[in-house]
Amino acid sequence: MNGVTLRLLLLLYPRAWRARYGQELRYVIVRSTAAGRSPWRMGADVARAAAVVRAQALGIVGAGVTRHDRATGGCVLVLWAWVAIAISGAGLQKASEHWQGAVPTGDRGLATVAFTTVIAAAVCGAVIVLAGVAVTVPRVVAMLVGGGWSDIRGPVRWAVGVTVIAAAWTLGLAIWAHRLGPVQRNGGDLLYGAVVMGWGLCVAVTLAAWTAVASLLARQIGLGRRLLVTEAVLAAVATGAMAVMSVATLVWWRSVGSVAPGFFGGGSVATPVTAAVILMAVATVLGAAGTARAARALDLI
Amino acid sequence: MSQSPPSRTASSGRPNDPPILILTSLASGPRHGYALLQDIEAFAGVQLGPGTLYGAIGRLEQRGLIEAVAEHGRTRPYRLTAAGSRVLEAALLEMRTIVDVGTRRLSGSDGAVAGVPA
Repeated sequence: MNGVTLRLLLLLYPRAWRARYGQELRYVIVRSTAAGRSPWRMGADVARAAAVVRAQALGIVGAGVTRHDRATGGCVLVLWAWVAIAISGAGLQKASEHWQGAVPTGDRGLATVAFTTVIAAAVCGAVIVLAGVAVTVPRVVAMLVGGGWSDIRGPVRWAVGVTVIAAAWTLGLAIWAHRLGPVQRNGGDLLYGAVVMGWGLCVAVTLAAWTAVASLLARQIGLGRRLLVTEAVLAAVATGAMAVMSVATLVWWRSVGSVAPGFFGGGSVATPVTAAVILMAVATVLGAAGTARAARALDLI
Repeated sequence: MSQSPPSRTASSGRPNDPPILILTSLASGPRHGYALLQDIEAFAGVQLGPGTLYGAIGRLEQRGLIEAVAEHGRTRPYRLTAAGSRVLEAALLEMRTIVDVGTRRLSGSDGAVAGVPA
């Protein structure tokens, strides 16, 4: 395993963990590589272990943390699940934007209800998540005023950086899209399609960066029991919204597929819709797991 | 003979669980990370990944079951604490109970009928 890969792998761990175990882990990897162990298997093992350490640091998994940490971790997991479902919802929206044209007017009833339900549940869920963020604002302000900025400076700078890139990308893409025709914008121009995919990835990274900041803040500000109960209830409602979105998407998919199978005939629609549905299902399961973890930690169930 | 199941302790785990393997390895004296990997492979035939090893070391140290001793170059040996010894003993006792029951049943001396506890 080369030095660059090794450095990147170690960066997957939280800074405090790296400071404590990084040098030892590096030594073991170097010795194991020299002994002929597969660098791929070691890399996968280290990446998986780093994800577990990060999830434990956030209180998302593991029993060896306080009830407060488990409750906070459960709520944070729901927040991540929401980000995942928001990304999948945006993908679904983009892939399905011309579905009405493919379905005869008389056959649109159930699909329209299902699609409207997806959008309504998404709006409800977004409001709930924003409410969950809003109730923590006074604590966040108090933490920052109390000198907590240094603890979150690095992740915030990173998030701001990717936000600037995403904004510039969006602007450039909008200008380019304005000069293209509808056919080129909808799969006719391969380069444009690749740039749109890159833009989607950049937006997803931006969302993930800000969610990482929120996760860190949730750990730093130390929510009291009352606020945690409020967050847990909001998390449960948001998870309900995710479940509704997932089920309604499946109903829409099946309904459109039964009356206009040709709509999903091409890979340009079927692939992103399938990916979106899978991501929605995963997000809903994660949301339910997070809600259950928070509720158990707070003795609500 | 009826036997009540032993209460499961915080140490409960399968014999090839990384924490059990690490505690077992350290039972014979302090070792650093790479020496732990080699020893575990030698006595259990299990090849732990470096990430798995240090994930388990971190959790064991956090729970006070092992502790680091003075740094030695780029390595840092670990040793079992008194709490770690107790947890390992409890885990081994639990495994021994299963081994004893399984051995008796295989040899037919337990008197139990399949599906019906004796």
